[in-house]
Amino acid sequence: MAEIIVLDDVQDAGTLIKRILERKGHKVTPFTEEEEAIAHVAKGGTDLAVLDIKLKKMNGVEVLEEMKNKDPNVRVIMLTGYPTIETARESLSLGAAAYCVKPIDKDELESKVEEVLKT
Amino acid sequence: MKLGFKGKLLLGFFILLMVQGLVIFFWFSQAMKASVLDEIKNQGLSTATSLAVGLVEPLLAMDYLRMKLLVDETTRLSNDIFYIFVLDPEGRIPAHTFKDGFPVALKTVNPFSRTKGFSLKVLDTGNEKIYDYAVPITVNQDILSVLRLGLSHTRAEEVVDQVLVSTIIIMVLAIFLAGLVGTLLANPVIRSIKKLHDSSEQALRGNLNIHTAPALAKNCWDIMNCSRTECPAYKNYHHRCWYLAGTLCPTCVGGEYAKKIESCRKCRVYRQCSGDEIQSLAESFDAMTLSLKGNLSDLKDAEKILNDQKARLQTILDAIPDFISLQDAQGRYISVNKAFCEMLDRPRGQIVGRFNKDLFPPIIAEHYDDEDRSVLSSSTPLVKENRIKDHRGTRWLHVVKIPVPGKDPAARGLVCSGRDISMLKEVQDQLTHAQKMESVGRLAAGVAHEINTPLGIILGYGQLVLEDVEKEGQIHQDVSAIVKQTKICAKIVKDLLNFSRSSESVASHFDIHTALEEVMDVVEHTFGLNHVTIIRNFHPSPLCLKGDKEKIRQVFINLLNNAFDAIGSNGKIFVGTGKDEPGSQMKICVTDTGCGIAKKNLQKIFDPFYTTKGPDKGTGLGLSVSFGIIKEHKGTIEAYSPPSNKYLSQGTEVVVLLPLDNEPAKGEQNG
Repeated sequence: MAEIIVLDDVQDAGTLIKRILERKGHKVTPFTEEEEAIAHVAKGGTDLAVLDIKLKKMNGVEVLEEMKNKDPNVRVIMLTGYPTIETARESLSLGAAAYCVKPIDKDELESKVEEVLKT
Repeated sequence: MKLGFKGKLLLGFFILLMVQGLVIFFWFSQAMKASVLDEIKNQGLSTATSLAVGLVEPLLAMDYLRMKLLVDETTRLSNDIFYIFVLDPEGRIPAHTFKDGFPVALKTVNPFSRTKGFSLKVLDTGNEKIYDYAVPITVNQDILSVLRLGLSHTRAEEVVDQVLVSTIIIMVLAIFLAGLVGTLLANPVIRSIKKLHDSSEQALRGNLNIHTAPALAKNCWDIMNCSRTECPAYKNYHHRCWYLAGTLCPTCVGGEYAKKIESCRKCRVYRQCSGDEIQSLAESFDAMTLSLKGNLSDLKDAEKILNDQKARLQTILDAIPDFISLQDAQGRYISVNKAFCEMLDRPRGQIVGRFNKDLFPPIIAEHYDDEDRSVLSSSTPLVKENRIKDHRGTRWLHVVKIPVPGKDPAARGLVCSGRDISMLKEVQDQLTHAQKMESVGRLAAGVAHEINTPLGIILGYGQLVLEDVEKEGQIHQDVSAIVKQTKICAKIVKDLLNFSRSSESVASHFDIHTALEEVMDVVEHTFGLNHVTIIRNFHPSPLCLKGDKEKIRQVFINLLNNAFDAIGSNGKIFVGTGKDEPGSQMKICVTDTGCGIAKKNLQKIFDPFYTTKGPDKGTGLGLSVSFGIIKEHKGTIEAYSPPSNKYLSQGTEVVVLLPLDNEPAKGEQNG
């Protein structure tokens, strides 16, 4: 079981990811606000953060950078609606473990999460 | 027969002399006749008067014999005296000269008049005319008798006639002599005129090297003792120095004939060399031909320059791809260029001098005429776009009609130029279409982005429900259909987002190997899970390209995904780079060992919305977008199935050619 947070400005999307990952036995906390998610990570104990790239106030890459500053051990999977190579490369270079293209496919998300948590 | 100048001159001269001679003859003959007759009359009167004096004495003495002797003697003195007789107051005849008896009728035909002192009467006998004189024989105022003397009038006329004949002969001789002298005097004049005539005829035939004036005994250089060979008059035997401009004589005034002639008239050369009017005429004629020759030469030079300029202007006008025409105020075409002739498919000769109505169909010609009149009357240029249909098809023309102003109506006109803007129009249409497509793309992207999240939620919850229901049940089947169709929607949304992004371009210089490596970094892991390996065969040195790196990466991610989809699992993807034969382009080959594409479908794979993949896998936009991107980068993209590599029996090879950029790559500056 892993401690996972989900940051998505759309609450239903976050809840969905929570539902998918909870079935796999993980403890999932969804957030819609960037600051709250970052604060949560800063407390420590978060194994994985699933971040949407497009957020309300900041973009996902900035949040990733911030989270990595707060907790370098936190693993991050980026969710993007714009699957550009550039975003993917930038995310990976800033320490994201993987990225998923929206709309999220349940099986793909599950396999990516399991893959990342193994590392 | 037409008379020449000489004939006319002699005829005129002859007529003049004849008229003059006749007038003189008439006047002279009348005067001569009157004079001779007067003389005869006076002679008769004188004879009668002296005889009357001589008869006084014998009459007083009644000596009839002596009277008879006196009258006979007087009669013998002249053959012209017909008769003499004495008539006394009683009507008796004391003496007479009639041999056959005295004709009594004579007594009364000429009665003596006391007032005049004598009486003269002309008697006509039928054969003769006789002057009958009646002179008194007087003593101390007393009339003793009357002496009658008859003098022949006919004889007197004969004398007059003789005098007239002589006069006529003298006059004819005088006319002949005058004609002879006139001819001799007129001949030099006529010769000079003939020479002038010949010279003018030569000049008319184009020969201006003519010399009409006679050579002079002494020329200006002889008179002035001059040896200035550079002077135009020096050794010029045919032209007089006062007619020549630029003479170097110290007494000469500079300039043309009109400026210098006044001073030349005072020069001794002029005084010695100038001749009569005929010579002056010949000399001025020579000077005139010389001046004409110079002027003609200047005119020919000017004409040549004008023709050269005209030809140059026409060459320039003909070289211009726009059609150009010039019309006069009446709408007549004065000048056109080659493009105009080609537009009308007529030679220049069939256009110049004609009107719109001769060149265009009536309705169009009338429309053009209205436009031309409006431009001319308002003096405002007209700019329009005109769609025409001619032997070369339908074209768009950008036409400008400019009025040519001028105070003189003859100088007014209209310049019309037109440019074929069919290509521009086409590009405009394409641009409009592209803008429309971009708008549609943006709209689609906006919609796609907005539905992406709800779509993901539907898909996710669908998948969760599938886990919660029995796998064999109807609900499972229904929700499976929902999940499947939602995945198709997700794929469409993804392609739409890619499609919308293809319109934006950010140019940079980069090495194609870098872009390929970045793409392969992303996909290699996923491919690896399905045992699909990427094998690189790169050119040893960097191959630089100027373009949008993101778009180029998108192309290769499409190609690699297609290759991966064609393989499915367990296969190889070869990615090779190199230079093409001339070395101006780079060649990128993406070859897979997949199922390949049927030959009949190879032509269609770049068409939008064409796909060989299943309905849940492809939208047919990937290769279409890639084709557009490569074309935008001035490259080509072609697909071969099976690949050209002889070691591969099946699969597909996609060859991309892109122009090489000599500027070194700037790394990640803009990428």
